[in-house]
Amino acid sequence: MQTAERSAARTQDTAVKNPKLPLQMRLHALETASLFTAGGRRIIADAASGVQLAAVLHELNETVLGRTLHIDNDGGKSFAVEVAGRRVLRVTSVEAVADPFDWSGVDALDESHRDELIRLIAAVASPGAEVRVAISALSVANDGSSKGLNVGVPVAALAEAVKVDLNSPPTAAEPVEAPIEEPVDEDAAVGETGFLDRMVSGLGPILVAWIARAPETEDRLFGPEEMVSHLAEFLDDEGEALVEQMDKLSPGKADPLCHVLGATMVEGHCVISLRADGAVLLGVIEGDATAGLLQAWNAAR
Amino acid sequence: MGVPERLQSVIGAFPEARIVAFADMSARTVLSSAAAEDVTQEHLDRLCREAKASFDDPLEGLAVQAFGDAYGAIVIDASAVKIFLRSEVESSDALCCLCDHSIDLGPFVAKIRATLEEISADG
Repeated sequence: MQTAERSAARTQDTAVKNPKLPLQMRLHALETASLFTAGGRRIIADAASGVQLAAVLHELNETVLGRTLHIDNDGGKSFAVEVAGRRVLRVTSVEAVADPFDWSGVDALDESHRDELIRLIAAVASPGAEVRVAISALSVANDGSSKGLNVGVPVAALAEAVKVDLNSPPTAAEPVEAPIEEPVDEDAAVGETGFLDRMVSGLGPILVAWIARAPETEDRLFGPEEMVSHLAEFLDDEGEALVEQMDKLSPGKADPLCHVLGATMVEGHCVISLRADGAVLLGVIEGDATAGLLQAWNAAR
Repeated sequence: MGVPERLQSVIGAFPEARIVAFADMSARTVLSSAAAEDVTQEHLDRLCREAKASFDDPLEGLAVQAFGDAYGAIVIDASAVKIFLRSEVESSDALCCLCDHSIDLGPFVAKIRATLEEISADG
């Protein structure tokens, strides 16, 4: 084993034994091999890594001096943020992301923007995407001298919300569900390991609301209350017809089936019905349904 | 370029696409198709029926009520991925596609959307 490999292995071993040691993470980051695209952007998560969201949060957290980080993916989606002191100060551009939030009117971020920021990051750092970063100086207009107090959103707050440990290497096991305002029952979204649960986990933050119903068990719910209650009412009225519709679409009635309907499928909203594990899930996808749907299905199989 | 050639170009660009068929949804009939394998009329008829069922109530009713007209559907089961697109110009025009699970959905949907709109525009 070469000296560098031994050193890397030792560093990783120490980090595993004591994952809360930030200095070890800095050292590990320095020793990690880097890949670059033709345009000079550094690849921080490849398509198969499963750590896209965690990798972006680690990048943001590495930035102590003021910098602009341009994050993009191989699907053409991108955003740029100004970061300093491990805080995200400002979103300066968003491209090809179906983002209902208007960042142009926000000169200074604070923790109230946490969830919107997570949605934006998750839209670019989506499962199955190659994610890249390029770093540049802060723009002169935004160097801090001409602005008022900007407390920003601590990267640690973002990481905590999506259960990413910034003091351990990014791992594929980290959940990527974005927090939703006023969740009906957040605990119901985790803890099971069937096909349906793996699909929910694989879809991540694009699945913004859902209800899963199975015979003789309580409904499992996730998302904003007004959305979930509408889905629940629909299932009350049309549940049997929905199962019949799925039966028409697939001859194997016991096999998993996923049915998504939307205007363009790549932006706006879609509805999703999923049959698996003797349950029916009805939900809403926000953003690009084509980006993570098949990856989630293939991973859940 | 005619409809068969346009459909064949999709198959050529995406080896994971096994069948691409242009259908008249109001007549529930496949008008033209291209396939990477031998397909029977039965296969095509079933694909067309599934397209019709995917754009049917109750799920379509929910989609329309919540977000407006639905022009795209994806159905995934253990055997295949089926993608159905309806034309926004000619409501009865549709493309019905059957693909392997390895298809890259984003670029594929963009390609067949463009293909469908070209076919509908040509009348």
